[in-house]
Amino acid sequence: MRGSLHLLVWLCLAAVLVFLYAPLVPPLLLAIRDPQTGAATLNNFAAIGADPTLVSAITNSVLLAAIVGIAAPLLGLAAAQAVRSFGLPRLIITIVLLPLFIPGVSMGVSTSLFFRLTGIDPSLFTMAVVQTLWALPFAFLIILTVMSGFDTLYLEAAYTSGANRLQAFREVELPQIAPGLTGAATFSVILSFNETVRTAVVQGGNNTVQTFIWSRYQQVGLTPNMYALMSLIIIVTLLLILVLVALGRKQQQS
Amino acid sequence: MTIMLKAVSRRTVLKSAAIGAAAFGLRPDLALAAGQTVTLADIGVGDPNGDWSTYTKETGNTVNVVSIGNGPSAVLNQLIAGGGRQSYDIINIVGGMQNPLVENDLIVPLDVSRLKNWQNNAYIAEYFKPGSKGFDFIGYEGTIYGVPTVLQGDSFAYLPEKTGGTLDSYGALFDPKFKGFVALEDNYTTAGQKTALYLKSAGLTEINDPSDMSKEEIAKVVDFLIEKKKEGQFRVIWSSFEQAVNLLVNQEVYVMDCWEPMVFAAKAKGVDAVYAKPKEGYLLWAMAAYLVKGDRSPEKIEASYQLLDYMLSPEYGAMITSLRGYMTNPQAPAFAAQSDKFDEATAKRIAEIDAGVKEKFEAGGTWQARWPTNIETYEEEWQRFKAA
Repeated sequence: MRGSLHLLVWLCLAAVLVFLYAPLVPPLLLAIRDPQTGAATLNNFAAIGADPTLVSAITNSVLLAAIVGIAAPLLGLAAAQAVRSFGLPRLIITIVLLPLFIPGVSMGVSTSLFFRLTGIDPSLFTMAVVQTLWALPFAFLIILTVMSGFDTLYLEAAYTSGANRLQAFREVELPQIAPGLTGAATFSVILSFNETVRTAVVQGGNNTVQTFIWSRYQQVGLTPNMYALMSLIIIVTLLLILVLVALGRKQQQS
Repeated sequence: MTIMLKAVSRRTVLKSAAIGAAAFGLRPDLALAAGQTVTLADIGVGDPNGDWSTYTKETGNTVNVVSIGNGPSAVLNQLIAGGGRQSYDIINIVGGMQNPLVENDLIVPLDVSRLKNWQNNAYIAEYFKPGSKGFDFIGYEGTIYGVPTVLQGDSFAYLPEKTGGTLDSYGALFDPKFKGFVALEDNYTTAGQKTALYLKSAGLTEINDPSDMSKEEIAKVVDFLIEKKKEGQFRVIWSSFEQAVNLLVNQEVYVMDCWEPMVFAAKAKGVDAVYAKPKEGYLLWAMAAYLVKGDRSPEKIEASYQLLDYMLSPEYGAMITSLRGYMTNPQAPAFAAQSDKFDEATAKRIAEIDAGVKEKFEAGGTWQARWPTNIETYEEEWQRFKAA
């Protein structure tokens, strides 16, 4: 009886996993398929580099991911510190999480109007700002969660031992909450790489991988090298999630 | 150190001057505008998959392609709110929306004497004559603003195996025989206008001009579409290229209002799909490339003109016909046949596509209206159809 129940649980889990991951399979299949012969091939991956527009989109996406991966965790850390120091945690949390509830198009359009009014031309900077606004609430939540497990008594002890605020943060708190920062950075990189709508509105003269693929999807269809790139993005994203999980486990063990 | 710097700078100046003089002597146009990057905002159709090598080789300039949406409001938003005026030098979109582009001061008139390929393009002379409906796809109030880049006549696709023979009327989209196996495009300037063409031809509704309907006329068209929608006629209202191709490939629909390249894509995947020759005529349209108004140097403007001229060249035309399935340039088929850039089969396909579209223009129909007089009513009515 117990064995069959066990099997049922495993079957349910397998069904959920199939439901979650089955949609990721077709791009992978199309990525390794020769469009002419139908045979399996890796040429589509090699062809990514042959399309300069795609290459420049990849470069932009990587640059943006790096900027957002640094900016969002730093801002999230600052906000999380504010929650602890200033009181009024609910107010600060609500303010920081607000962009999460605004639809992507509205957020993108209002940001682009803001840039227009302030005379800032579209560039990688405007794209990075809009993506950081998107990633910030997630980074903030991750850091806040990790910080909630940190006992501020350690800071008191550090101050008693003569450390100033910066020293206490750097030498006592930072090592404890580092996994949170790494997690927030990883998550921000993933969010930046996958963002489309907000970015498309403020992209100006720059494509990202997502805005480029989305535009092609709508107008002229996708080429095999785009499926190859999509597959790579899916694989990299899954690997980054695995890194996040591994970091979480490491933190639990320590 | 100072002496060294001086020597280097003197040498550099002399060297640059020599190169400049040589370049100017050989190619005056190149000397005026080399080393520029022209940003081309394109809906996807105009990008020869990044291969701008001939343009770069001939002019010393490069092209930065940026993807933009094709909806009229999306284009305007990108230019006005999205900062496109500063970022884009040229936009290549479906023509016919000069009204808002000119009225909002977003594009500039073209000096076609700067385009050497303009004069030898028989399609321009034939299909975009001043005063004709086609002219409205490149010009506004008698002035030329756009370079035509692709031409096409749209109808609808069907799967003969499923429909049991040839279909030659837009009425097939509304035939109860195919109930539940029909798809329309989410676009009032295509699906809406084709419906109007059918209703007028079949004498079901009085419509003066299907390409520019009154508020009452577009309301009647939408009433008809809603009635059909409620009867379960439409499987889906599609909104992207890949989605439409998949509908045909998976044989989820038998009759579909769509673009011809989707039929090519479905055929390439082994599906027997046909692009219909409707008795009501085709929905004719053209893409056009416009110079965006902005604060640009004479060198940048020259480089942009050079790019527009390249987009009128037989080579660019042949590449776009081959990749996207539209008619481009009268000399493209001959270029494809003679150039070693294309294999024999591709050259043959380019010639076939060119001939096929030319046939549609000869058969005639109605030009698509990208910016009808009552556009706001069109938008509202189309939302009513989608929400019904």
